[in-house]
Amino acid sequence: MPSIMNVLKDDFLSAILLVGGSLYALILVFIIFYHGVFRLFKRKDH
Amino acid sequence: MIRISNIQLFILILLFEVGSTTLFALGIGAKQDAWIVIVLATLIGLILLWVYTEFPNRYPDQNFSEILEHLLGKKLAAPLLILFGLYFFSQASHNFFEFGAMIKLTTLPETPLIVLLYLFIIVLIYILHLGFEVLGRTAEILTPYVILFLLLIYTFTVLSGEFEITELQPVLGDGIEPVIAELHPVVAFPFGEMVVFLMFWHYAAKPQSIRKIAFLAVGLSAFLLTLSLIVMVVVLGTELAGKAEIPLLEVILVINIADIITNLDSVAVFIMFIGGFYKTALHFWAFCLAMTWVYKGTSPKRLLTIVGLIFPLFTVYRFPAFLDQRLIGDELGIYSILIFAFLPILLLVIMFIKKENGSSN
Repeated sequence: MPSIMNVLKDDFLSAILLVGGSLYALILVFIIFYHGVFRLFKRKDH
Repeated sequence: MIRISNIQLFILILLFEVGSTTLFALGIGAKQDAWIVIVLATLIGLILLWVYTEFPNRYPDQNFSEILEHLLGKKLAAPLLILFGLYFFSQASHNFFEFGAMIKLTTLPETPLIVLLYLFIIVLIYILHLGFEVLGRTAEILTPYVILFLLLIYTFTVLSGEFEITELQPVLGDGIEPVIAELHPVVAFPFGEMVVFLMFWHYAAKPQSIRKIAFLAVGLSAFLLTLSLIVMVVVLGTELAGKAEIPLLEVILVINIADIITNLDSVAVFIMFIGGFYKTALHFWAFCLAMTWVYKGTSPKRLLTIVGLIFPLFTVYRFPAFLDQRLIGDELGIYSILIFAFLPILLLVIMFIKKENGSSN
């Protein structure tokens, strides 16, 4: 995996895509965990 | 309302997959086992395709922007659409430059690259201005020739006596490790690139048959790619196939049947140009759609013209030379494709969770 600085130096668009895409993937993973766990808790309440 | 038929969708997927991939010897790092890499990558690609075709199954009449808004809400959907748009733009510029440079390299060495790129983009803007169906219909006319020429090339190489099937042996001579190591670039390119079709599923006249059509098209293109790679390895050998700038062209230059059928390089240029044109057009249209959806515009045509006219300048600025493009594509492009190809899996999980939450409520 190329380092972020090298990516920025070589190609700005790729850097945006790599950083932006990874951050967004993390957000989606967070949403999945948040809603998944939330659902589990809700089931326990029942 | 723009609608494309099943055959047009099938042909667009086929051209998209076979397109620029004929330029590369995919998975050649695994040497004679490169064809096994393609077969394995196809299996992973089909799983990804199942994910991509699940969206139109669940939301048959909605476009990707509406699906994202439903899944994530307006605030989270817009940045994702912008990121997808930039990714399509990046891929379009890769394909665009690749084919301009390839034509300069093979047929028009004296013409400045920027002139070739402007000719290319003017045709592209014109076709897309006429609508997505026109792109589908032109593909429908041209694809039989592409497939015919590809099959003719394979037949001629066999007939010209340069076909050394023993080049494929020993099968898995170095074990499975080189095959696994080469797998991720091939999963990304061309199978992960199918993510662009998420933007076009709503154009399909029969949403219920999208999955069947897409699986058939990707299956056939994987077969053609495997065949193409086997021919490259068998005719050129693993060393030359790995080092040649355009392996398919080298294969074609080998063809010589009784000094009559020879110098068929224009056939190779035809195949590559058509494939490259459709890959660029689909990525570019996807970019225009994504950006129009972000600012809630009615038609992407104005954006198409404005960005289209600047596009060749941007591409030449981004890639100073052919090698720069190859380097950026190999080192960084593969990872960005992988990220954006796998994002829909997370979206699908969110879709399942939302459905579960909805039904439990």
